[in-house]
Order: sequence, then structure tokens, then C-alpha cells
Amino acid sequence: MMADKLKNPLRAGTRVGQRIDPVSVVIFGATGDLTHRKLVPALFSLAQEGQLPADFNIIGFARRPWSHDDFRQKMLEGVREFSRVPVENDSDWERFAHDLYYVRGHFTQPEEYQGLDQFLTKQAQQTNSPDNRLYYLAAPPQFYADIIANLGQAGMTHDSEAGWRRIVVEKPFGHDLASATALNEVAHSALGEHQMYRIDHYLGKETVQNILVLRFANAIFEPIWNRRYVDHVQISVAESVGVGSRAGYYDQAGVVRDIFQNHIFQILTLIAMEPPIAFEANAIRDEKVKVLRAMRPMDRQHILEDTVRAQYSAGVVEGEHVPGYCEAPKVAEDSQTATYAAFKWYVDNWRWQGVPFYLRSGKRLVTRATEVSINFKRPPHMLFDASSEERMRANVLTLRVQPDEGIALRFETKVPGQGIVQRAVTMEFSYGASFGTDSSPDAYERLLLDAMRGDATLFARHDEIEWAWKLIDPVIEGWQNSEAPPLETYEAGTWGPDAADALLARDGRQWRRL
Amino acid sequence: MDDHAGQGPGVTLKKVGIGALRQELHALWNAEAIANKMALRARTHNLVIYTEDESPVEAIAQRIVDAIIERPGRAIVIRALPDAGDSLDAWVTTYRRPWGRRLMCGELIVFSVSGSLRDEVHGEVLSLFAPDIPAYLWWEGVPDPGDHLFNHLTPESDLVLVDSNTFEPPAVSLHQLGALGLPRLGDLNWARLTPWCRALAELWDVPELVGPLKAIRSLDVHYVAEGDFRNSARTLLFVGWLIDRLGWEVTGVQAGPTGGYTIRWEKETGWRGKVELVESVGERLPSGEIRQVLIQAGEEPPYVMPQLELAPESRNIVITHDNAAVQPFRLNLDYQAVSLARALATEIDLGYDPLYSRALSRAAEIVGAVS
Repeated sequence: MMADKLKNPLRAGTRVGQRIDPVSVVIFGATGDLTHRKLVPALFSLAQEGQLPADFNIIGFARRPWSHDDFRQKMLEGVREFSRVPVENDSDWERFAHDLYYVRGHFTQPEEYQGLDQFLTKQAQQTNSPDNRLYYLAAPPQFYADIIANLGQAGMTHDSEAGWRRIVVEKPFGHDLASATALNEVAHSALGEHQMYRIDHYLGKETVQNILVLRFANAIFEPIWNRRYVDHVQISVAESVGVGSRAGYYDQAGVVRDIFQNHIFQILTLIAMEPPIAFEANAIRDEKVKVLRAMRPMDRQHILEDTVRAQYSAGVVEGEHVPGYCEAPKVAEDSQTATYAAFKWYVDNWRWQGVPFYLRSGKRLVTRATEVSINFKRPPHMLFDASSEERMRANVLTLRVQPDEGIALRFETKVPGQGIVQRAVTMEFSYGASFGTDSSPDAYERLLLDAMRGDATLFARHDEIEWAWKLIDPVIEGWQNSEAPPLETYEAGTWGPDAADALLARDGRQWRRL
Repeated sequence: MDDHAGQGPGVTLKKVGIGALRQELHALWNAEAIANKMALRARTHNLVIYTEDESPVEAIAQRIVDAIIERPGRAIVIRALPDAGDSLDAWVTTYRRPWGRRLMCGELIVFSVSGSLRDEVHGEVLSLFAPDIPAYLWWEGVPDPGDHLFNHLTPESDLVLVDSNTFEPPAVSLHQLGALGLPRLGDLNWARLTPWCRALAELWDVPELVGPLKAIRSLDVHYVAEGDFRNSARTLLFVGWLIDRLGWEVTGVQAGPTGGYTIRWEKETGWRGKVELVESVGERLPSGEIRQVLIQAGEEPPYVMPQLELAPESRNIVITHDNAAVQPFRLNLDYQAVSLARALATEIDLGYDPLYSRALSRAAEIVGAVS
């Protein structure tokens, strides 16, 4: 068993920080895009910055008949293209690649897990280090249950004297409530909840984490963070890309499963949650679950009135002609999958009663941008002339998640000169300008480190996942029936369908220009 | 040469009248914004750098820009020439570094001051502080507690920074610095020590070693001591940190005949041990760098004797243990020498560290106790 790190007199309270135990990261689905675009580049960056332990291995597990060297070569290509920290010389890469291994195996073949287990045990023995393992499910989601069950059957999931076992699961965690619950049951039959790390990479982003700091480390925001002062909230996740190589998956999932059930709901819960009793994983997750439980379920009438779904047609994005969604490979010509959705949602609790949360996300929009805007109410009485009042806009606090991460506050000010003429201006905080740093660590870097440290604060708990599906399932089912709002069309390179604008216009509001 | 606009290798200075400084800065930013639409003006901090460097002002500006480039902000250099007559000159420039697809820009103001004006330049400096952001004072050398300028700048500074790696002579200067008792003091040498502190902390995470390490008998620290001043500052800070963290009381210090120190200590429990600081020459390492740490610990034989050794060619600190007391092991910890710019960025990012003050205090105590 590892010594109690808190008792290490050279670490407690020092900059030296918490040690990361020796660990083997086992990536299921090692030949896939996620591994070479995100995971291994993130681990390479961490290694270059000295943040990984000395005894550290990456073991790729997948079907393809690759050798260790094949795996290393493929990962080198990914690291060269995608790593935040560049490969500056061969020795950097060679030092890292020395700890990369590949084990061939089929996810559904229980006997092949024994070989993996033996390989991992031997690795730990050779270095005389603890046999800690972080399993990362980067495989297609239909294999998650098999992988977890086979790991369990092979006796590879129990924490023991030899080392700890944790598992990181990529989204989607199920495709509806029933499948998510079933997957949770499989997971809990093999692992404890404390071993489960359901990853949502949005939670690894600096600006998303900063929501909690902004709200709870400043005295000026929390008193006005409620229905008395907030008129409405907008959360927008705009993508300029199409479905790309994910078309097969996306046509089954659609924008609601792909973005709303996870990313947008995670952001919404951080915006709407009550102060947790401590900055600690379960305290925060308890408050997030309360928000999900307070969100008003969508019944048939709400689905008709408060939801918009749409699909992009051909258009021009960033100066290039792009085909429509149904023209993409692996997408049915008559696909009814929504690539855009907008919702008006309510959180029925004391703080947010009557405050609409407008949520939207779509592919092939004008640009890539993610932001949250807290739109405040107008002053109760206008001192200035009517024409001025008409022009006057409400205060807006905007949290930009990407790109140009930062925070902006819009407020009215007097235009210099004779008379009283008002104009909206912004106070801006930009991460770059205020901290002067090159770039924040990639979200995967932060989350991988947290999983290795055993800190689950930025990972979703099983009940968060299940409550999110409880909210999403009725919408997806409702869109199947004859009274559903029609599947609108929007031209690629626009801000989405007119129906989305109408959703807000009915309430006398409009979407923010991103 | 200093009277005209100058150009260093990458920094172009514009000489300006003192009264026109703000207008010139404003004009510089307007020009930057027009010339370069991708420029982003950093509003991160005010950094005052005090130097008595007599090099040409362009060379000083270039040296400072190289040091501050990782954390652009408003930098104000005071180059003081104490032996010259009264004069005060000023230069301004902007500097920039790539930041994603944009350029992050900071501004540099250089005052060259001499004679009696040196003590009064704080007014000009403080009037240039950008409001509502932190201010740091980086003082080259050991500050004089009676210095009028220093005493006017420190109350306005969130953190006073020194670089004990450049102290001459190092040990005596460290002692003087410790004696000042400055309330919010940082040291670029502290950032350079982090890899070694992290490496040593690894030992206390090894279950088999935790027990024996409660009874350290001896600890030898070998450090590179080249040049006239035998740079011991970093090693003294390292040992000061260790003594503080492990609760040792220094009972005696002897300077070695050819350099280095022998430090004897005692714990509350009565357990005694010693630390040897051993000079090492002829190394292909920068002066002041720690090269090796050897430990012998345990209440009775067989003792545990872990070793930590810097392997610069493989960028590792290698930790080994291969005697009979516990199972042999070897750890390679990533080691990257901390550059001046990185050290400055680290101290600015992490801010005041009370553990540094305690390490400094213990290091000064060691130097002061030399018999």
C-alpha cells in the first residue's frame, strides 16, 4: 500500500504538490482517433512538463495486428500534429515512446484480457512499482459493457494491495436512460462508483472551471445570481465543422445526445447550482444533481412550443462550399437527425423560478464558439428620455468558453459630449491579456491528471448521467410523434433556422451574436 | 550612445522626455494597434526591475525582455549609476511574443538615473503603475534596508523578488537577505530548486523508506561551485528547506577548509545527524546547481542509503537504492533546468511562498552559525 502522501513532510503545504502514483494507462480503442489526436498528445505534453510519475506506461489495446513499434509510430504522428507541447527533438520522443506498448486483443474475448493482465503485472514487477491501472475506454460505446464486464471477470478491477484500479469512460454514456442505467449496473457489478470517471472534456476547460470561482470566490455576483436580477440565461455551443468521420455515430445520436445531454447540461448545472458545502467531488456533484432534478421535464406541449430542431443544408462555411448533412458519407439520404437544436428550459427551484434558460447548439454554423450569457433585467425606472430607453440594452455577463476565453460585462455608459446619449460598452477579462500565458493545458491533460490523482470533482457521477437522460429522453421521443415541431432546415454557414430566433422573439428576446 | 534611440538585437528603444512618458506610451500602443491588428496588450502586472548594471541601456533592455518574455506586462527598469552626476533619462518600447494566432505585447520603460535623483525616482516609477493589477519589485543584488528608493517601492509591491543565484558573495549575501526580514519576499532561485525538492519528496512516498527516514544519520549535498564566489546559495536554501520541513534544530556549523559546510542538527527526540555541503568542481553544469544528494538513515544497520543524482544528458534526476536494507529500486524523474524567464514566470504565477521565507531564515541561520 502506498504511504499516506498527506504525511509526507516534504509535500504538505508545499509547491511540490501531490504525487501521482506510478501508473499504467491502458487505452481500449488504441487505434482510434481519440487516442492519437487527444489522449497520447495530452500525455506527451504532461510528460514533457515533468508532471507524470517516473514509472509510467501507456498500453494500447485494440484489434489491429500492430506491434509496439507500429503503435509508437502512429502515436508519434498524432503527437507531432496535435500535442500542445511540441516534439522538439528525437530524444524527447524516444524517452516518451520507451513507455508505450501495444497489446492486441478483441474487446469481446474474455480470454484476451488475461494476456493483458499478465502484461501489466509483468510491467509492474519489472520496475518494482505498484500495479496501479487507469483503464481508458476510448473504444466505440457499444463495447463499453463488454470491456467493463470482461475486466471484472478477469479480476482486473479490484483495488488491492498491488495497486488501485480506475476506469475512465468517454461519452456517450448510454444513448438513453435505459441504456445508461444498464451500463451503470454493469459498471457497478465490476467496480465501485469511486473507481468510475465519466469524462466530459468540457469540464476540463479553464473557463468552465472558472464558473465556480467566478460565482463563489467573488462577493459581487452571487447576490444578483437569481430570479430577482436575472432575466434569462443563454448557453450556446456553436460548431463550424460538420460531422466528418463521426457521421455513422452522429446520425444515430444527433445534436441532443452529442452536445446537450452532456456538455450543455454540465455547464448549465454549474451556472445554476447552489453553493456546495465544500470544494469536493461529491459536494459539487450533489448540487449539480439537484439542478437536474429541478429542471422542468418537457411534456408534449413544451416540446411543441419550446424546442426547435433543424438540419443543415449545403452552404458556405469559412469561405468554402460545404455539402448538406444528408450528403455526408454514412448518412441516410432521408435522415431526420437534428444537427441543430434550441430549447427554452426552466429550473423550477427557489433561485431560478420563472427564469428561462435558452440553450442552443448546432453544426456548420458561422463560427466555432461556446459561451454562456447571464442577461440581467433592466433598471426598474428609467431616468433618461424614451428614445434613450429604447436603445438601452440590459447588462449582460458573458462567459466565453472558447475561443478567446474570458469574461465580459456589458453595461451602459454616457457617450462623451453634450446631452445624455447612452451606449453599451464592455469590460473585458481575457485569459491571455490578464495572465500572459501561452495556453492553458488541454482539457484532456487536466482530466487525465485528475483521474490519476483520484480526484473525481470534474467527472460525472452515475446519477448525473441518469437525470440528464431523464430530461432528454422525452424530447427525443416527443420529436418522433406526429405533433412534434417539424425538422427545420438551415443553410450551412448561418446561425441556424429562423424558428430558433422565433423561439426567443416570442418572449421579446433575441440570441446573442457570438 | 545612450542619448539616442537605440536598437538592441530585438528591442528598439525610443528616448523620451520624462514629462512625455505617458503620451509616448499611448502613441506606441496606437502605433502597435495600427501596425499589428493581432496584437493583444497584456494587463497582467507591473514589474519594477532595479539594476546597477553599467552596460549600455539597449543591452540592459534586451536582457530584461529576455527574462520577462514569458509573462509580458508593464515592466519598468531603473538602471542606477550611483557614481555619476544628477541625471534622469527615460526610454520606452513595446515587446511582443507569439500567443496562439495573436501577439501578446508588453511595454518596457527604462529609467537611467544617477546622482541624487536616484533616491527620488520612485515618484516617476509609481506614477506609471497600471492600477488594480499586482506589482512586483525585482531587485538585483541584496537590498540595503536603509535605501530610500527601496523603502518607497516596497510598500507598493505585492512581492519583492531577488535572484540569490547571482549573489556575490552568495552565502554572506543570503545571510544579509535573511536578516532583512522582508515580509513578502520571493527568490528566482527558489523556482530553480523545485525539481530537487520534488525529487527528494519522492523518497518519503516509498513505504519502506518512511520509517528509516525518520532517523536520518547523514545527508550529503554535492553542488557545483565554480568561479570566485563558489555559488552555494541554492544549496543553502535547499538545506534550509529540508531542515525546516523535517523539524531539525541546527546545533553547529563548520566551514570546510576547501569550501562547503558541515551542519550538525538535533531533533526534539534527541536524534542527531549531520548535513555535509560538498563543493564539486570541473562539472559540466552551471555553478550553483545541485549535483547529488546522498542519504544514510536508520536507527541501526543495515542503513538505508538512497542516492539522488542529476543526469543532465538524459534530463533526469535518478533516484537509486541498492543496499540490503530495502528492496532495490531506481526512479528516473524528469529534470529540466529552470531558465531565468521560467523562474520569473513561476514566482509571478505562484506568488509569495511562506516556505521560502522559512527556508531562507534557516539558510541564513546556517551561515550565521559558522564557527
